[in-house]
Amino acid sequence: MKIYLVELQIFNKVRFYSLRKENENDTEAEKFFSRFSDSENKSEFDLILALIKNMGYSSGAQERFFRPEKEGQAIPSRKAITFIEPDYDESRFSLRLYCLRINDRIVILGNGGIKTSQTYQDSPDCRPHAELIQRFIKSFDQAVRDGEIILNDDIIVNQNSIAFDI
Amino acid sequence: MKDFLEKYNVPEETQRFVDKSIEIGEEIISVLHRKGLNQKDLANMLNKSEPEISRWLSGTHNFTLKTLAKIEAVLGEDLIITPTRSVYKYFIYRTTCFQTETAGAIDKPEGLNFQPAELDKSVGPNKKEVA
Repeated sequence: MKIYLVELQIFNKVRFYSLRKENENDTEAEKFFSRFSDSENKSEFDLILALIKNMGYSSGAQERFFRPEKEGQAIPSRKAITFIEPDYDESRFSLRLYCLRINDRIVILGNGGIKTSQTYQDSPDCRPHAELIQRFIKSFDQAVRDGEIILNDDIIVNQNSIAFDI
Repeated sequence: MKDFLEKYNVPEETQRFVDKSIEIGEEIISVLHRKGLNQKDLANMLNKSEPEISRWLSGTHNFTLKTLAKIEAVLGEDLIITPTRSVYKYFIYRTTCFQTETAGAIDKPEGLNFQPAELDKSVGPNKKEVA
């Protein structure tokens, strides 16, 4: 499968990219946003979006906002609360957005889903998205090693001209 | 595509919650740095685990006043400050400057004519702090 890297939005602190599969119109992040922005997980989605916007506008993509997931990351970082109800149990926060944080100024957003188990491997809604990011990272790292793409402080150079084989 | 994320609005209370949680986290990190401490030190001072401190700094933690008061107590500094308290502290600071200025150590800035006694009457509930 071929994957393209697409610029999603440039904020003053962070440049967000996403992945687009060959023969598809929407990026993985767009699919995530379309699916969850008006779902029963909307309050969790809102919190993730608020975090993304804060990073973009003011704080930058600091490591502490991300949860390590093998080679990649996920948002939110830790247990999180929402405004669903006053006594919301933090451990119930189940929405995950998988991504690759390059540095404080560059983040590649993938897709995500509802985590229903301790690990994403046992969560059918998350596993394909987490694994897609993992496979992309391998190909991306190779492209960086080969000099096909260049990572500047706040931009991925040549990102438009490469199809990543995953 | 360039403004993709702008198509989605966050409820104001949610955005404010995340912004404040991150700001408080920044403040904790800043105070620790200033005092030459790290997260492990803070965990020890509060008898908490390091992962719990990390959770506080994740940007989505719901700090309680009780937790904030405990952190402020061990660090000996304010982490959050209300606008009224901020004005009060400013005038305490200015009063200190005024007293120093009258001692001749610092030139008093032009146009700054106030008396500490007036501040004492008009600002702040605790006169002991002004004195």
